[in-house]
Amino acid sequence: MISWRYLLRNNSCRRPPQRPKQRGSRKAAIDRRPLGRPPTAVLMTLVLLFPMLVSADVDRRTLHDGTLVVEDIPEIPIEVVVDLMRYQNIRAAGFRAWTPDGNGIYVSTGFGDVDSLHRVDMPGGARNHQP
Amino acid sequence: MRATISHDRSRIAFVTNEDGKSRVYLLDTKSREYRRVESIPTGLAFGVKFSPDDRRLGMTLNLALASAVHYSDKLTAAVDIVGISNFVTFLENTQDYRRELRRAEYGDERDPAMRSHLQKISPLNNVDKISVPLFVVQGENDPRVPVTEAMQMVEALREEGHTVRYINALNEGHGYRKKDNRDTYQQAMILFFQEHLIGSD
Repeated sequence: MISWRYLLRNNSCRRPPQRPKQRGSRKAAIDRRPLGRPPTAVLMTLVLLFPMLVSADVDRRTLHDGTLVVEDIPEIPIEVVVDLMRYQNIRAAGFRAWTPDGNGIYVSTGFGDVDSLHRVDMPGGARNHQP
Repeated sequence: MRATISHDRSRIAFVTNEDGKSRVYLLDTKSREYRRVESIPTGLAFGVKFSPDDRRLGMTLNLALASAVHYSDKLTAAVDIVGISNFVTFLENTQDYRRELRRAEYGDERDPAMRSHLQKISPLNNVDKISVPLFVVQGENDPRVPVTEAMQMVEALREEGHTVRYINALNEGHGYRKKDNRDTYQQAMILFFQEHLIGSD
C-alpha cells in the first residue's frame, strides 16, 4: 500500500505522483455514507476527482470489479481473447516436494483464482488441498 | 527462451552468455554456419523469439526502460514489467527488509556521488531519449519495485507527449498471480505486439 507520507518522502522524484490512497475503497465508503454531511462529502469528491481532472485525456477503465486499472489500452478484440484461450484455458501442476514420509508429493496447482499447495498420495491420485 | 527455431525451420536464434554479457547469434540449419546478429547490442537480449513472418526477432530483456532509453533506435516497442524508473526513489521506497541488499546491487543512494550517478542514468531522467511505444505493467502492492516507480514513469512519458499503455492490478504485487489479471494482461500485451511488431510494415 502506498501512503501520502511515502509519496512526500519521495522528494527526489522529478514529478511526485498525485493520487489518494486506495481510491476505490474510499469511493465505496462515501457511497455508503448517509446524506447530510455535505462539506466532507464535497471535499472528498474533489479529492477523488482531482487526479481525473489533471489527466482528463487519459482513457482510464477498471476491470475485474475495479481491481485492474487499465489506461490507454484499447478494448481487447474478441479475436485476441479467443485466440489466446487455448493457451490460457489450461491447468498445470508443478512438483514442489516429497511428503515427509516419502510416499506422496506436494504440487502447486490452480485453486480458484490462484495457485495453491496440494498433496497427492499416489500416482494418478486425487489432489488434497493443503489449507 | 535462450534458443528458438524459425517457423520455416531455416534458422535457429540463440543467446550466449559471454563473460556475463549476452550476444545473439543466428545459425543456418542447412549449412550449420552461424554469425552474430550485430544489430542487437551486447548485453541487451535475454531470450529471443522469431516473429510469425520470421523477419524480426522479439526479445525478452532485463531493464526494459533503460533499454528504451539507450536503444530506441533499434527497438520497435517495449513492455516494462515492474521496472525501476529512478534508482534513487526505488532505493528509498523499496521495502526496508531489502534496501541494504539492493544498495549492494545498485549503489548506495546516500552517497552524494553515487546519488548523482544514479540520477544521471535513471530512465526517469532520460525520458526525452525514449521514442518507442511503451506498455507499463505494475502491481499496486509490489514490495520490491513500488508502484510509484511505474506511476512517475507513466506521468513523465505523458508529459513528453507519449501515449503510454499502463496496467496496474490493485490486488497484485511483484508480477501477476491471479488468473483473471494474468489473462487480461496477456491479452493486452498480445494486442500491443500485434499492433507494433506485426502490423508495423
